[in-house]
Amino acid sequence: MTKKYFGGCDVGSTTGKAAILDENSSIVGTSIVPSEIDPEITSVQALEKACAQVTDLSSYKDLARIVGTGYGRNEVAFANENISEISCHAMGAFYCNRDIKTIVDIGGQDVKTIAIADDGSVLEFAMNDKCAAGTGRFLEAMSRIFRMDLEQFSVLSLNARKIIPITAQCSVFAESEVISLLARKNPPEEIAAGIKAAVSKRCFSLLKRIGMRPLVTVTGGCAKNQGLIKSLAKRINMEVTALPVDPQIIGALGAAVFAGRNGREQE
Amino acid sequence: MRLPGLAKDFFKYSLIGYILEAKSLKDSFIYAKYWALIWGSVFKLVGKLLFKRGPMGIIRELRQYPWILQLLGATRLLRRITHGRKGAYLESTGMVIHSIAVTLVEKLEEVFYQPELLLISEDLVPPEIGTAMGLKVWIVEAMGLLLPLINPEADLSFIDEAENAGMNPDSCSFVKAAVGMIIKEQMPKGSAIVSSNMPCDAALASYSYIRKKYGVPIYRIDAPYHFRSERAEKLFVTDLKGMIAFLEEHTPGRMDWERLREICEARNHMMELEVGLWDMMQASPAPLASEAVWLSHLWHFYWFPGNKVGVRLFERLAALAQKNLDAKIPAVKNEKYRAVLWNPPFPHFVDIFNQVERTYGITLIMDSLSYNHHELIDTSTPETMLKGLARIIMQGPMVRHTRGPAENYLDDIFRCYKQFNLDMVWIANHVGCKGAQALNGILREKCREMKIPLLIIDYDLLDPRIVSHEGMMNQVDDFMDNVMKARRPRSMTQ
Amino acid sequence: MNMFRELLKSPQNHLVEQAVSDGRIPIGYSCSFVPEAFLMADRLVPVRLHAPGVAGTEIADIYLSNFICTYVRSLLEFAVDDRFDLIQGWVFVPSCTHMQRLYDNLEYLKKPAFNHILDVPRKVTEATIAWQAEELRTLADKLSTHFGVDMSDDSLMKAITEWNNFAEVIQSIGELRKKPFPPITGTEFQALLMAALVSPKDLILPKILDFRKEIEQRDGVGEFRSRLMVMGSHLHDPEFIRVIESQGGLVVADLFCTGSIPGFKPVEISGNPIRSLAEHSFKKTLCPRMMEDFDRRLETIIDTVKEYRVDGVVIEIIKFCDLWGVDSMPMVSALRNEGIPVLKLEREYSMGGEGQLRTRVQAFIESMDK
Repeated sequence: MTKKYFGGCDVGSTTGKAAILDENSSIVGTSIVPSEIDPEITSVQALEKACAQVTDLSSYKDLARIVGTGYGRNEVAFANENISEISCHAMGAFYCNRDIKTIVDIGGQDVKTIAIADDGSVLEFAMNDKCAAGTGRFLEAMSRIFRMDLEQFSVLSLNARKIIPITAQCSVFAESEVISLLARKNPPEEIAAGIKAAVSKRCFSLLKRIGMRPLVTVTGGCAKNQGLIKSLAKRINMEVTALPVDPQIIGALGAAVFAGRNGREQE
Repeated sequence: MRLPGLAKDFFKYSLIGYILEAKSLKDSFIYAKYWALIWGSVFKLVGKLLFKRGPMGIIRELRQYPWILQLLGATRLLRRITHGRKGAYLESTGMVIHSIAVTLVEKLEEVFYQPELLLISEDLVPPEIGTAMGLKVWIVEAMGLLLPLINPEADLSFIDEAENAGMNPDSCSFVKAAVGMIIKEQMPKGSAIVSSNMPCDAALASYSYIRKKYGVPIYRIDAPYHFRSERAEKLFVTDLKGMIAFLEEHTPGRMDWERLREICEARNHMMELEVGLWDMMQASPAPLASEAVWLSHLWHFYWFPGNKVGVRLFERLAALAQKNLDAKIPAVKNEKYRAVLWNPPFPHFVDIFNQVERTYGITLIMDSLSYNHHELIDTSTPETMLKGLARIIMQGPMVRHTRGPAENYLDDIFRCYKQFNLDMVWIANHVGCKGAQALNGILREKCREMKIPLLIIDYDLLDPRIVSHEGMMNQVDDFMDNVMKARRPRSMTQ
Repeated sequence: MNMFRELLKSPQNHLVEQAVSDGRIPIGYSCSFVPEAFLMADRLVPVRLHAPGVAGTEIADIYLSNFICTYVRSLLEFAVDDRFDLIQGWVFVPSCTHMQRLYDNLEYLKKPAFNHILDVPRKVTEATIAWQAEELRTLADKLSTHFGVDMSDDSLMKAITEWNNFAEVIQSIGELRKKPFPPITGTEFQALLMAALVSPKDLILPKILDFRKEIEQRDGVGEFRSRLMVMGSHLHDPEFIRVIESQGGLVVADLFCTGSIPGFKPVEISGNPIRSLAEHSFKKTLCPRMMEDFDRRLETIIDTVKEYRVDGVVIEIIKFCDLWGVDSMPMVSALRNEGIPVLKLEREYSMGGEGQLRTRVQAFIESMDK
């Protein structure tokens, strides 16, 4: 094998993501797999799935360099280095669109906002990691109350004529609030709009903390939630720029960019 | 922990453990010296008590003040915060811990042998006055702050006690710990109480309970919001005079102005030495850091201003700094980032600065509780001395930063940043300190404007259950990795 | 009655609008230590700042943090949203850390043309009364320079007389609550009182007098299981009292920041109006920010319990308020020692969680049933 490939692996709490770049920094493979208990197994599965898309690669071991990121990054012993998901999301988004200056990353267990410098590095960040409200897990729990999968729930609010506000700050209390609103026969789409408004409010608050500048994008699995994106754009009074790749793999992509860059530096 | 674990732990924190780990004979000698001196203070306390009161006396005092046993861990504290430190820097750390041990033993002996002279005081009432009156000042909040330095969980039972008694759980743990200690009746008793309206609402309000519980007379001094005026100084001096009259009426204390002059002069000297030390701290790399700056000030200026132990400490700290400066030896090897800590320190995670200096080369140059810029006390007349003390209290950090407009708090940060050539500002975002929390929004925007790297660490002052040490370190790591782009040795990332 | 409720729907009601169109100057304030009579001089109109129906405080949360009391956060949110656009001047008291920082953040986010901090001491001595008088004098001069209003002694004296007349009417209605069968519910009284605090006094007084006539004809307001006193920090929304009363506890006495005990005692005029107002502001307010007032507060509560035949006391504290939060610890036990049943309620500024409140009050009333 003459060509070199660089891998990035984002070991998240609910899914593992991998991205592979070739020497020209083009994306040649990506994957998303459900997280296993052992982060190392998750990362191997994600990388193997991505490598399968590249004919030159028979195993992740053929990668010239691997950067691990995500909450489980410290457990990925075979990675050449690990870089925090904050830097990786910034780099991944920068790779996709150099005009992006602000990111909201809505992950499974936390929400982060990141301000990006002109070179793709992190200027500032803010996180909500103490509380489940506003995270992917929160939206998952909410969709279960509506007896829907995430995809159905994602579009539910799009037709809402008005928003029923959810006042509870805590996700547990919000759940009971939503259950009683549904029991009182309120239109589900209006309650769903209220839930998304609550999440966008959280994001807005975190965005204000880092000084929001356009273009703004959303990364992480929840970026696929159309209702949420619509609600966020309305709340921040700014367009949310869509990314040309799956927003869920941005962290892994950023890690792969770092792998390529640091790999070349070491040569 | 099983026996082998306990033995290993004991060995690690023992003197032999240190010597085996230290690479230099000289450093081993320095460490051993302070190890012995600290134990010497403990033995002095116990020996004297044994001699005066017999074994039953010791048992009685320990039953009254069980927290004293925590102090036996003082050399463990020494071990935790001296990790990796060398030469004069190591010595400065040992010196600070030893000076605390000596003065604390002095204080405990007053509690044991002169209870009739004890004056129960809040931490922001000038202790100089009570001391000049021949009283023995016991600061209600002091042990709550000191004990977690030795044992991070030392205050938990006190905090729980206060919350169970109905205190709002979101109030400051500094106040909760003191109140809890009083509820458990583990606080020394005195003939009178002096308190104030400072620094925060919770501290002020707690004295209604404390007074009820103690059942002794109380005097409260009241610092105005607009404190920077002749008019405010006059009002506060009148208040201090009221306090002196109160103490003369309700305690055996009598004002000895000559004694007050001696204390104020010694305090002035201590301050001059400290300012000299700060001048040297402006050098990059800094000749000393961390405890030599923050802990020395916190303990000696707030509780023992003018005490000979404190004066001697600052003389020696200044000499050590000079020695390092002359020899061009940095306190922190590979000093990379110079930091200020704003708001109260991290008592239950006191070794965080040791960790970050080894991991990242972050050097703690200054902290907000030490950062004074008032004048020396004019000791020419009683009136001028009271005016000087009034200024020190009203313009001191805890008070200056908690009243008056936001600029009092914010501009001081920027001033300090410039004065000490800093690279980053650390905000100790104590969950109970609402006045500071409410300025973080403005601070973030100002720092962004001025391109000052800002790290806001969420934590609780005395309760590690709110944010764990790991949680605190994660905040540092995230900031260092992403904003400062610092590379850690891989061994440190696990 | 609905008329008073109507006046509480907006932070600046139509009576305030009317005053503005008459060329008068609304001054917003948020703490009882600001003497209302002082802000009634000449063309000034005192408006107690409130945030009715506040739905969220997202901007305020960013600046003030989530650890600041929701009253303060709500005020900042409304200010940033231009909901106080008719208020031409703000007068704050560093009554607590939260209020102090509200001033700072307001200055930063939406600097008012007139913003003042009245530095009220935290204990009462000859020296601090003199200080307070000087503070009021400084404020008077500043108001006079900025708005061109007459803050002379004569003008202030006139304002005090007007306020005293007004306070007397409020007190006379409050007195009716001492009766074995009060002709007014706590909810009605709260709506009336709050409406009075947020409206120009002269414009609302005729409506209050009409209402007094109406209730004087009443025999009572129906059966209640017990008589309650509510005390604590800022309480604006009458809904809170309504929920308490819905559980059978008639609220007959109010000893909170915006309550009538002892807030509506007339100003005793001792020659110099400024000095009289300085003394009055300490007498009419019972707040734990005052370091030496615990005993006076306790005595007032005990006296009120006797005078108004109160069966139980509800202490309401806005979450994160350290003054009332810490103070309640000795207060609850002191009241219980006096044999007075106490319910301590932690709440948010705006009504929410009605179910929880109802359950707790119901259980409290049940526990008092002999």
